[in-house]
Amino acid sequence: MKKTAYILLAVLFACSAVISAVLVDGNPYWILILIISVPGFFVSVVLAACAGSKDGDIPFVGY
Amino acid sequence: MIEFILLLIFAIFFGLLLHGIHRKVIARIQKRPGPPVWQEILHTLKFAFKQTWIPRTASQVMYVAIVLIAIGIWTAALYVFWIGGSLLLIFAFYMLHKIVEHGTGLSSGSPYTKFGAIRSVMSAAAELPLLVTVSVVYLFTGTLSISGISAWETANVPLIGIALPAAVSLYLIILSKAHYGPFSVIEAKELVSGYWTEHFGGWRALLNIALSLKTFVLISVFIVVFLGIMPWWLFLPVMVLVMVSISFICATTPMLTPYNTVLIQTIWTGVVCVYGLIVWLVMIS
Repeated sequence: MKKTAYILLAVLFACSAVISAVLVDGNPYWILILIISVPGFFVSVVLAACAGSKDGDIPFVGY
Repeated sequence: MIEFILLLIFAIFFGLLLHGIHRKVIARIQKRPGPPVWQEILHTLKFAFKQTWIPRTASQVMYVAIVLIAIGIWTAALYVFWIGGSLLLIFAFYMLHKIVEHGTGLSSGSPYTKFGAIRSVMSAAAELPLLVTVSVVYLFTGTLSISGISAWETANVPLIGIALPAAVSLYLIILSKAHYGPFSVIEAKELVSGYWTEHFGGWRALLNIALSLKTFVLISVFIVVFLGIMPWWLFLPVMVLVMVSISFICATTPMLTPYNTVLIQTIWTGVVCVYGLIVWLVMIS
């Protein structure tokens, strides 16, 4: 995926995180969306930073 | 006091178990079998009984003292959390952990650990949003004691709903300190094990214990400050859930370069500073 696609994905996750955080007071089940959105946001940001770089398309670094 | 010692023992084992779950989840997402979840407990026990010594190139006093400091600060942090003490103290201990990373890296005399130590200083960018986190929590609750914050949340709403960027900042801290994470440049594989490469045997066992306490304290503080106080039977699964979400990020992202690590953390600092400023302006108006 291209850098712009990851950035859009990050924006999408950020929006869903904010919306679910606002709604979580009314209905606690929104926490589930929040739990998915925040890690999704960070994954998108990190992949956006890597995309287009020399090693950026390698999904995993060997541990 | 007996109760705290029991809590300390439990926190060490549960923290090590969280590290084991972390490794297992990463492995399963990457379609590897991975080690059993109790592997980190076994590692620590094994290291504790292995032959150990101090390398000739090491600064001998520093090499040993830094391990004891690591155990000391996270035991103290656990105590502050247990008595519902100040959030500022917890973050002060967290800042001292930076000295532990730096000291561990510099004390051995190895070039690998020194690189880890230098990167530890660079990754201080992750700590800057913490200051905004503390400010925002104080603006909303009017207190910085953990017991006061949880009492405020019980009477009002969980802070995660109204202070999401502050919660994300603390989450970023936990992520930055997790093993195998995108921001874990201080223990990147090109540096063997990074800042603690030369601490082996009993020293490694003690550092494992300190890091397990660190994970336990940071995740506990995150839950209590942003989700509120909850019964232990719910608290422990939520801790595992937070750890699994961290593992998910670690499993699906490559390790960033030090430059990108600092860049992303600095951008987030900017975002959180703007948020903190807005909250402050709204509060005083």
